[in-house]
Amino acid sequence: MNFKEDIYLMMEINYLKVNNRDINGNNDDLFPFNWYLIKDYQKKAEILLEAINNNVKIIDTKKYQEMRNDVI
Amino acid sequence: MEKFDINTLKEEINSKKSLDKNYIQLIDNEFKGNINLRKYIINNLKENIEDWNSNHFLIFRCLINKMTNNEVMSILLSNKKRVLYYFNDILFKYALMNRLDSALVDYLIENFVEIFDCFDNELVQPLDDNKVVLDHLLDSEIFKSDKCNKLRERLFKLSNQYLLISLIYLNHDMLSNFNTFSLQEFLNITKEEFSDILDNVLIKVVNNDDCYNNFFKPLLLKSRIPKEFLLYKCSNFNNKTILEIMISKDSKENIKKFIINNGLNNKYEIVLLLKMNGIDIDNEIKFDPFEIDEMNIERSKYESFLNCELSKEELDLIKRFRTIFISDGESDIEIIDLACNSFRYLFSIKFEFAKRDLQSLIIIKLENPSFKFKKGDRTSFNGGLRIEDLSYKLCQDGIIYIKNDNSINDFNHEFTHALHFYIKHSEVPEQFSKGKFEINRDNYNKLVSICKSKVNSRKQKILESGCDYYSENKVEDLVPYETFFNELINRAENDDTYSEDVIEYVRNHFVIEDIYRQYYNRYYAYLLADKSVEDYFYSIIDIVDALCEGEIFDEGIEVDGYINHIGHGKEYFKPIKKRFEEIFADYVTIIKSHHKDEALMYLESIVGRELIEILDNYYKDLTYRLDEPKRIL
Repeated sequence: MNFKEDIYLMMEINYLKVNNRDINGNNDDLFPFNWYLIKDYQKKAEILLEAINNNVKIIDTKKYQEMRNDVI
Repeated sequence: MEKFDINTLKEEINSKKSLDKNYIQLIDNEFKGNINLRKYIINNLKENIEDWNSNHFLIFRCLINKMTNNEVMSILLSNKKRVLYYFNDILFKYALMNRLDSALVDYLIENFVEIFDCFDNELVQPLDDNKVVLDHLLDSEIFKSDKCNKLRERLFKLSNQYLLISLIYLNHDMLSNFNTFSLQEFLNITKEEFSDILDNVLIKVVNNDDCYNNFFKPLLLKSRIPKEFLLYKCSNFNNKTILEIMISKDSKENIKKFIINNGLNNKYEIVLLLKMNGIDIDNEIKFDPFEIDEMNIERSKYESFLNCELSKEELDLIKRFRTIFISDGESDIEIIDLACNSFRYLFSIKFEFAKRDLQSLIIIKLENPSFKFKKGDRTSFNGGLRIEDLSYKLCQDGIIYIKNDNSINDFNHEFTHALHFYIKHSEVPEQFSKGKFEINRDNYNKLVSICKSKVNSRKQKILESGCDYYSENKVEDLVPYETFFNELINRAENDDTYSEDVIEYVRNHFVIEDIYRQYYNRYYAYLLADKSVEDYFYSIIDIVDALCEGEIFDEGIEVDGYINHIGHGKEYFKPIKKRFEEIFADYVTIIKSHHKDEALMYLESIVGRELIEILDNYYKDLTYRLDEPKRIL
């Protein structure tokens, strides 16, 4: 694990906290399908930041939409 | 693996091919029956002692158990100068374990063997001195009185090398044997009283490359050192920990192997320390910071009982038991000590059958020398090869595996399996096989709901008190996380491509407690399954599961969305023998726990009086009778 992944995990905890979710509960609805297959943790952290700041779900963030266009 | 003859072995040894574990096992087995091989190996070891390579040492180590004292001595004496340098660890261990006793020491001194330590300094009667120091150290009073100064004088006289061995072994032995103070306490005393000596030793040992590679590292590898020793900060090295010094001296791969072999990869302080030094062992392990604490909880359940004074007879019996098991050279010391603790505890609560069970265990060991205790990834009893058609059982490898070496309940459970296996040959009493036992489902559900509420109140406690609940050293525990966190931020800042907004956000919003909370939640999920609620809860469910032939296990018990499967399941419980084995072992675990009365009340309300009486009578009858005809092949 490198520092990017660690920081991403911290962002993910914050994302769940903002949404009032339990970390170990079932939070599938907050994350897009295939989210865990994406290995670019820097990008993922940035997306989470945008989601937290705008109080939206990941799937509705601009950055995620852009990335999806890239990947798929 | 295919068999080998003496010539193959000759070739193998001479070609210096590296030996793996299986190979050693094979030699070990062959050695028992093959006199020529035995002669060959001993002669070979004697002749070429100057050119011994690591293979020879390995062979020697696996053979030393099977040799007579004279054979060991003749090998040791054939090279007077160097041999003790290489063998000091084994010698020490064996002297300590009373196998060679003072006989070897006397013999060596009588024969004027020169003994050198790893710095090439001559030692005068080191083992003798060592023994005296050991006796003093093992006297637990010594740390409470003003005897420390006397001890200090003695320690100064000792060679550095032997002192280090003493300290490492003592850390271990003190804790497990005497229970008068904790390892932390011991290290604190060592730190305050003997830090100058210890630091001096360490600087010498670590600075000398030859000594570090040939003595220090192998010693650490063998002795199952506690994590506190690796985290000991040496003032001579700018307050670096021993592990950090090792990292600076050795390759990353070696350190990785060393940590994993020692089973220290689930200690989060160690993992974090490694991580900070660029050694990543995440792929090898899934460490859970609270695993250690959970094991400590198991221990704290009975720790207060261990300080009770026992009679001389009881102590002697425990001592005898310990010596017998240690001298087989194969049992793991942690589990032997766990067994000792179990019996100390039983004696202190004046358990009626404690003495009888301990004596039975000793007799079992004497009749089945291969019966041993092992620390493993699972907790089980393996009775070895069973030939069901015959009226006797052929026992080859009776092994008790224990995962959590702090849980006397686990030990009592597996130990009962062993008693049942060796004394009654796993028979099922007639009353049980003919009887029909009904379960009172209402009472069972009541018990489950009580336990659920206990889990919930415990969770509340955990969340309210934060870190305090698990660790008294709250600040110390937070330090590695805090350092780790700062390190992380530093690295991210140094990376120009990394988004500054994210770093800013994490720095402002991240609370260390969140990590703790995350672990609490995970830990909470395991609470039920890992029997931390009450000792007896797991055992009662297991009994009910056996009577229902595995239904309870398949159903699972739900707590807050987590389903925990407790018991053994339908597949396992198909044969009636298995059902009785488990019920019986669980019953004995219950009556040995200190919640006995409460647990029996619950059990009786669920399974009824009849079954309890059958189990009780069966346990009372579980005496090893020496006049029984011996089981022979």
